[in-house]
Amino acid sequence: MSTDASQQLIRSSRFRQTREAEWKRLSDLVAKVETWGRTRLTLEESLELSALYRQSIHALSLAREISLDQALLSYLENLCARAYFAVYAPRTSLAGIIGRFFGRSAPQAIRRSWKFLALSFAILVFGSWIAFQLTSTDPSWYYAFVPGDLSGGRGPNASREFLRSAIYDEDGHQLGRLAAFSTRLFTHNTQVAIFSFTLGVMAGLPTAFLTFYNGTILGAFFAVHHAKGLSMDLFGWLSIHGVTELAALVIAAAGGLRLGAAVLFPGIYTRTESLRRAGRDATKLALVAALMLVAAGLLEGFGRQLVTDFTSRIAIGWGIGALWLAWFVLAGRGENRDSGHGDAP
Amino acid sequence: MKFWPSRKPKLKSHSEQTRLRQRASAMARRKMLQIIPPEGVVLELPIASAAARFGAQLLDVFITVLIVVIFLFSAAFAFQGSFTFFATLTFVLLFFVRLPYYIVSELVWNGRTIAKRLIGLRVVSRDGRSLSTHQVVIRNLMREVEFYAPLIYALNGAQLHWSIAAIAWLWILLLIILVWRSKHSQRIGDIIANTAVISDPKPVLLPDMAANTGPSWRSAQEERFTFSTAQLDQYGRYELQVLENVLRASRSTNAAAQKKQQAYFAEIVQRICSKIDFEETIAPAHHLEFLRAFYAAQRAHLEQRKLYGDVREDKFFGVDSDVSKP
Repeated sequence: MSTDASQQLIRSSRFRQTREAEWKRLSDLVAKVETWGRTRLTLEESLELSALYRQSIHALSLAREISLDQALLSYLENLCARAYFAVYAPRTSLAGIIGRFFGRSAPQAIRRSWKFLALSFAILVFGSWIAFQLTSTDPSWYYAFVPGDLSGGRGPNASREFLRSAIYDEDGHQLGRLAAFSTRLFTHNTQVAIFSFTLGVMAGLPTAFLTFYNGTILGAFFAVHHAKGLSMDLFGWLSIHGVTELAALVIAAAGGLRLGAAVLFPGIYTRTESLRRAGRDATKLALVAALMLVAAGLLEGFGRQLVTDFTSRIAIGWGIGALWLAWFVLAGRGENRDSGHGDAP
Repeated sequence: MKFWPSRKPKLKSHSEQTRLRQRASAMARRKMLQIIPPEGVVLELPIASAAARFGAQLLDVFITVLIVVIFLFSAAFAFQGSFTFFATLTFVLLFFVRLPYYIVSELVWNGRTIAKRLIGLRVVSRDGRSLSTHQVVIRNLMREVEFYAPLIYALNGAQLHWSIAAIAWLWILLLIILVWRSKHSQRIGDIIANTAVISDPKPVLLPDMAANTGPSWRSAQEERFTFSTAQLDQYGRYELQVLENVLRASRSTNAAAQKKQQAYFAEIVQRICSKIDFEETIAPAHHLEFLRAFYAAQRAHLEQRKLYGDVREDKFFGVDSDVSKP
């Protein structure tokens, strides 16, 4: 096209004509990134992508001032948005994210929340202590604490032999029924964990109540077995998965309490902003709790009914508990702290 | 301050204008998200429609349920279990398959699950930075809590007490209203994570209607139709872009459609001529040429006015700009 001919075009058309080739190239690069991923680009192409993106977004800002060509404006707008997504894509690999979560951010979040962990653990212990005392003095309290479908027929009126068989599975017929009961208990605990975490937003009160309530179930259960002289056996039965599961409940509740504290005491931030900040750690607590619940589910599904020996139950349960504790306390200590507020997830 | 000598304001009343203007803007109105990337140029992204989001959800649910069913079948071959055992397993699997599925796919494909990719939706961070892992985890974790947990109670809660199911349904209804009414169609998880779902923009470069016919056509027409400044002072950006769309659509080969289009053009030409007082009568064969020439001249004029800071949004510019500008 001669200069004479392009001189006859109006200004915005000339603007478009001189840059169209760049935009086409950017469009091709973006399409390549979106189908094949950024790793397929060569170094030159990567540099070209970011340079062309900046040129195009500059052209967009100019075009908005000088052009009324709707086709051009919407094209540039869409192209720049697409290129923006390609340029500002998350930079970490999946393996990197998982590695950082386990290696650093999760244990650090746990350590940062130790006050809330202590608080939710205290509430759990308090609830079980109260229920234990009440049920010991008057066994009918048991029915007030333990929901019918959870007890599986094991109440204050059950015989010692029945309770014992439930714990040690001496009766083969019991296995199927108890498996169902175990999974039901697991579902119950998962739900409690989910609710105690999320309802933490309501100033933490529902969380505290749920944790307390869960403690009372535990306490009442213990009281019934204690009366029949089976407390150590129950302790073994609970240990194998209960260490992990109750720890998961405590962690989920600590996450909920953290959210509640953010709502109650926002400090210098607005409540939403404070919630967002607390959410960074609280989410990690929730993920750790979910992970521990899965582990507890596996232990429950296989371990509790297969391992019926008292000592090995204790050993497995508390051994795994010690592993969790080692992870929380020791992992990610030396490395630079993930502040929980920065850009890094 | 402004005085337009040739302007004939044929306007009925003030409210009439406002009504027309509102109708024009309502046609273009769609929920938009403005994000400011680090380059500092505002990008306007169209918020995904409710139907598209619902469709994508349905497809994603289908995919996750498929995965769970495969798991269940392999579990059924491996173990012998009771009905309750499998019911619980389904519940647990759904949770532990669904959550990683959403989180991993939105992380790997930058805010797009498989269904979102197919339908053309994308999760974006509203702060103009890249989507962080934390945001993806939060918005998907909240979906379990705000939607799926109540859904389970809505479907099963009636076994315990009818009020539980009623409250759960009410909650779901509230949730839908919240998404519908919120400015960027955000659900609770989106609000907490500061994200929004947009429909993925598709860059298609349409031809420039002021240039695409080439220099030979243009130099010939330049002589043929000329417009005075007064004639070009009648319309604004809105009318110009309507004309642009009309011209862009003028490429059918079907004889019947062409005939219909000719009548359409004749009406437009007649309207424009009477509005701008164009004396010459234009033969039907030259209608398209006239419209193209008018478009080019009008665009050049309006763009020039814009450079001087005189932005004309539509043909009512300068009349009541102080009253009904939003």
